[in-house]
Amino acid sequence: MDLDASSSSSSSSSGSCVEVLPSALLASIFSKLDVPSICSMAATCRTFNSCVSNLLSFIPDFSLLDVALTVDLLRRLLPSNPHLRILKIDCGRLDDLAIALLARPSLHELCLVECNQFTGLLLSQIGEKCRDLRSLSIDSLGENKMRSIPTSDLEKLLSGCSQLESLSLTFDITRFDWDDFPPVWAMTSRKLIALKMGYIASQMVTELLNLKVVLKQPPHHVQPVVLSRLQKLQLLVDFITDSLVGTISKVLTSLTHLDLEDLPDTEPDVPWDLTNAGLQQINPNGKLKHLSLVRGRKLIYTYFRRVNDQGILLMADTSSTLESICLGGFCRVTDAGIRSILHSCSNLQKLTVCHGSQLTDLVFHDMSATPLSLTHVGLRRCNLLTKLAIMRLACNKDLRLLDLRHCRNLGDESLRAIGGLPKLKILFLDGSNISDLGISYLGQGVASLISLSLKGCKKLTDKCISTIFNNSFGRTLQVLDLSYLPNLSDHGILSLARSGVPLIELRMQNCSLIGDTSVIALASMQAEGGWCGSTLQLLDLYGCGITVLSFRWFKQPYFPRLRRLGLTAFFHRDMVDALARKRPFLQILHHSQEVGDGYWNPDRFSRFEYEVDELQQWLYDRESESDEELLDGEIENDEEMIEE
Amino acid sequence: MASTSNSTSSKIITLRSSDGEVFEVEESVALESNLIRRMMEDDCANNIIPLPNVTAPIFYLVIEHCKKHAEMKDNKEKKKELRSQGEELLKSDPHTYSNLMEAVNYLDIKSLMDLTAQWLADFLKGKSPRLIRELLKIKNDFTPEEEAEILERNRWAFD
Repeated sequence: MDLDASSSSSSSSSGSCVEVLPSALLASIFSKLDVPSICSMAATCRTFNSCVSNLLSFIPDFSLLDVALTVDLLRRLLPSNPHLRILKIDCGRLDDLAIALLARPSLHELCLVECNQFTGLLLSQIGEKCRDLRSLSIDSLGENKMRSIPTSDLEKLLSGCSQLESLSLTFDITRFDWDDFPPVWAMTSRKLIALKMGYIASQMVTELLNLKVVLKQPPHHVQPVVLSRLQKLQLLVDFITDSLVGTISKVLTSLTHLDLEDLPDTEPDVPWDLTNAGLQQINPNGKLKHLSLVRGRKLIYTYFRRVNDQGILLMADTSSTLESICLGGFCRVTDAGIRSILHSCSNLQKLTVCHGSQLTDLVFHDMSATPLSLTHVGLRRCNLLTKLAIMRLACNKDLRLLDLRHCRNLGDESLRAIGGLPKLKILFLDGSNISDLGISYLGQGVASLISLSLKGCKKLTDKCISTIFNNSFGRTLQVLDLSYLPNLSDHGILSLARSGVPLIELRMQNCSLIGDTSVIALASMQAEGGWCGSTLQLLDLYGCGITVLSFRWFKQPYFPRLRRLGLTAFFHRDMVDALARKRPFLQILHHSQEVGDGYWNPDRFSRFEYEVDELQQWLYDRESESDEELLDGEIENDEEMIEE
Repeated sequence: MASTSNSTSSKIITLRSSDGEVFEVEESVALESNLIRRMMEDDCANNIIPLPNVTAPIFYLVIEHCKKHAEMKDNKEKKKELRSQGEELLKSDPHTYSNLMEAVNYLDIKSLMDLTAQWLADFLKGKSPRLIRELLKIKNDFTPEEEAEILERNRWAFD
């Protein structure tokens, strides 16, 4: 702050400058950065380094979810810090030895993903140490060990964290002891309003919800139900049944968000399935704002066989409060059912229907006559829809997300209608029948796309790439999926690289014409801000025609931000291993392996699901800074990683 | 400087920079600075207020940005424009940026503080140490041993 200091540095114009700013000021600037950028600062010069050391002992929010650090590295980044409120960590390389580092008394919010190598000790230690915790999220706990988790650990967690408002346990809950499981919930924080669990048996859920507590102190009256204050409930169960839906509706009278997904491993029988009667019980108190019912097909090919239009009509009757609805696997429901929703839910903003194989263009026939202004629409695998449906849908000028994956009959004319949506940010067109001409229609009205998926649109050629990046709508793209485009070649990727658009994720799975030239072009891409190399964090080249030549371009200093790289398995194994040694924090994905393992393993998919959710959330956060509403993962995971 | 504003009966404040130049600034603009506000409360308002830590060219910049900031309050386009200007300034002349930042800090102008701090944060985000040194003309003052250790420890961040 001394005048002399600043004027003396001004006289030597080549001299240093920014580092003469007061260190408190610098630290406050650094605190606006993400953790990797903060660590970059530390390695710049001494002044910055000591600033960062300081900062790490008072930073309130430490989030590092895109890279899994070892306990030694993490220890340096997490010194004692009484101001730390929010901690989010990828625990992929951590185990119980790191618990002391993670379970901190000052925390209000703790989110731990990939806790595969931890045991139940993590739960009990958090319960003992983190008394002020408001929000806790634990993913994949102990999934490498596949041992049962002591219910006493859960008990310690629930009784210790007495301020908990939001709890998310996304791992196999059936590994807790069934008999003890419901009673330990008697200790749950009275403030808990949001609960996410799964995988869990739906019978465990009904028992849990029916649990009553007898107070130890007089008067010894029976308290209603432990979880009765819940407002948000999100479950992954074995079967969605009438009794599950009925119990939830009866017990949870304050519910505003209900999100149920199931994963049947056998065809559900009558008492173990959802029927029209069950649907009728939803939303008895008229408080529900978000409803999602999805039947997963990851284990067997199935759908809600016992629900037809009548069930949806009855539900629509009691669901006029809904703002967001997602229906997956209601294959018997026709236009009449969905139209009844459009006509009774006057506040509806988000509509998702997956596998609506009976839906036709008539579903949106009188869309313009409704007062609705939809912002998010998903119609994945609604095969019968044609351009007429999209033209009618396009009267919703506020549409920001449009998911038309696997609507095979959609062609260029549909894109002409989509081109008139100025606010569109996220567009999925996987497997549709569009051509390069259609892509050019997007330029007519779409202002700025953030994510575009053209996976498997087989007619597309290199020309569409230059169309995308020569138009203003493409210059804001951050996520682009060009997988399964047999005509896409290096020329297309060259024009992408030339555009300098700072993409963050680029997928080109199984584009056989893509070769080393593309890799070199991407590696030497000059994006904004004088980057040498590219901004890419994810690059998927599985099944592409790349050779050994590409490998030296994956090494430093190229692709400095790359976190995940998709490569064909068994492809130059020694080179891949060498690369993995050189860049230990680069995750190399071999999809064929993953899909092979994962197809029957729901855990794999729950992780994938998480990624998709995160992406959506992330996209949404960027989409509009002023917009505060949450995206509740309305696009659920894409279970078909392999094209049919 | 004051003539551009459209408010009618605004008081004019006179300020003097460290190199002796005298500025006439509308009160509403001057009061953005908590330093000047405090000085006026201490009743120096009738005289010329001296600003011994700010040179004339920097003070010009400060006033210019204060006005822009007032204009942009409900204008998204302007906001974007102002952001990209920050990036240009940092790229072309990091030295002037530092002086501006120092002046803003000294004058204690909250709104501009947030803006200029965000400029630097946006600029630094996602860049490797080497690139930052190069762009901001920062000297690498680590010993080779120190640097090797720090790089090893942080390489995951900019690998």
